[in-house]
Amino acid sequence: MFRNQYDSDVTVWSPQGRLHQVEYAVEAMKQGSATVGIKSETHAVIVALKRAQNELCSHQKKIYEIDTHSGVSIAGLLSDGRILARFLQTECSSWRWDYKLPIPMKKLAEAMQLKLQANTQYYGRRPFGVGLLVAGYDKDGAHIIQTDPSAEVVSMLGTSIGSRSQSARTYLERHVDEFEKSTPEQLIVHALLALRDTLPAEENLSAQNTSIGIVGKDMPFKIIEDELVQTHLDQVATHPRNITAPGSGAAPAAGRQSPAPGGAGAPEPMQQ
Amino acid sequence: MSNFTGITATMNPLAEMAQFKQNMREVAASPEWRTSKLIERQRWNPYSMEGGSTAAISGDNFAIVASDTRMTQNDINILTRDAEKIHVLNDSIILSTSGFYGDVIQLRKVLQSRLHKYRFDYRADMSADLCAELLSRNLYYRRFFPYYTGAMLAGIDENGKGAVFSYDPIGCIERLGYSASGAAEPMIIPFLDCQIGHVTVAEDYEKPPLTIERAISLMKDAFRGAAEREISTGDKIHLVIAEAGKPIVQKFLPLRED
Repeated sequence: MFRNQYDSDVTVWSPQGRLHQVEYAVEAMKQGSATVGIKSETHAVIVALKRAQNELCSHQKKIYEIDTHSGVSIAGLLSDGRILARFLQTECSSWRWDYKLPIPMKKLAEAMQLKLQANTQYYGRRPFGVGLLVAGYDKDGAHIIQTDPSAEVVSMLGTSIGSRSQSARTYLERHVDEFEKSTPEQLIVHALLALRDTLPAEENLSAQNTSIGIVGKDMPFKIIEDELVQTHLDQVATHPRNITAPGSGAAPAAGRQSPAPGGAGAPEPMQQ
Repeated sequence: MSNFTGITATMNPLAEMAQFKQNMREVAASPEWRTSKLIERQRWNPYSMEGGSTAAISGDNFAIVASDTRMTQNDINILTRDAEKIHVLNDSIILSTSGFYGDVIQLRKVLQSRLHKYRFDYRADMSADLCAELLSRNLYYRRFFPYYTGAMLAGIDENGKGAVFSYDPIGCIERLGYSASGAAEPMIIPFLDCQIGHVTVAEDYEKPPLTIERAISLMKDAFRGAAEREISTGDKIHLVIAEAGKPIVQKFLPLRED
């Protein structure tokens, strides 16, 4: 992104009518690892790719349960995301204290919107560098709500945010008619297939880097992680992977190693 | 009174006696120490007792809690036959309360809110031992306007053993093998002391082991006995059974309705 003289504070408009700081925050969200959310008539599912910086690190948790009827998945600056998840949790808790009932998702979305927007309008604050996918089930049915650092809070049928999420969105657009009547298991498989499309060719979904959250009618929010994910991944493995390497012509992915670093002169042909 | 100077030979005994009685009457009617501020008046009482009783028994790997379901006013007017006095807070914690029903509801709300926050912060349910301390503190926070309830917390602790914690209204905590609270507490506790604590039997008595079936049977008998004589206990027994490794089971059993 280019630097210009109107991007130092969030309170400064550019002559084109843009808030650059907010746009830069959206870029931060796009750097985070991908997460996908889909809903059917009765259930909402979110899946996330957990990143580990190197083999010594544990994979960072991205899905949080905020109440028995809703959960959230984060993409972007995970520390900002945790603060927002805590905010959602206290909103849920305080609604329960006052009304003894779970908070309607609409109300939760409104509260999020106000909180996010505040950081885009006051001097000295910065927008949250994180996008959230909130999954919930209330009397109006299942919900997937996407939020943005720009404080855009939108209800979606299916969506994906994070790096390379466009491939996931393409998958979702292709299959959108199937979601409404899907069973929870089918919904999880769709979400994982969409998530798989965001991965580069040499990587794959595994029990360590994938986590699933699901909520719905008669099903309180639960997180499926580690070994329990494997049964769903086995289902996904039965669907062949459609790998299109963008720009550089279709190359078979199976067994491919990454190019050896520090080759002298012209790169050698990939026979390893 | 101040006129009394001692025995004088000149006074007539009858007149003396009359004088003495007069002084006694005066003192009894308005003693020196009583000021007008101590005259009793009717004041609004922030508490009311809705009656009912609860009891809990813990064993090696189980805990059972029972209560009646009657709510009364002034001990005689029945407000409902389906009052809930046992609240299952999560898979391993059961709160049972009796006494002022407004505080029963509030105490449950406070604990549920704290458990909810704990579940988010630590991504796991709170255990019974932690909740026991939490309840003790929460009761003491209201030291100067107490929760007027005889609270009990029961459940399965972290080692898989049954636990029963008993509290006084301001949070004195004690972990026991069995406990009761409410209107029929003075009837149920001696019965359980005999049957579970074996305090009234000889050392060499063959003490039966406390299995879950025996505990349930004792609970039923305790409440049936209490309902016979205690007027604010009756209608139904709400029985909640927690066993280590199994989901919590709730049952309703009939009890006298008079």
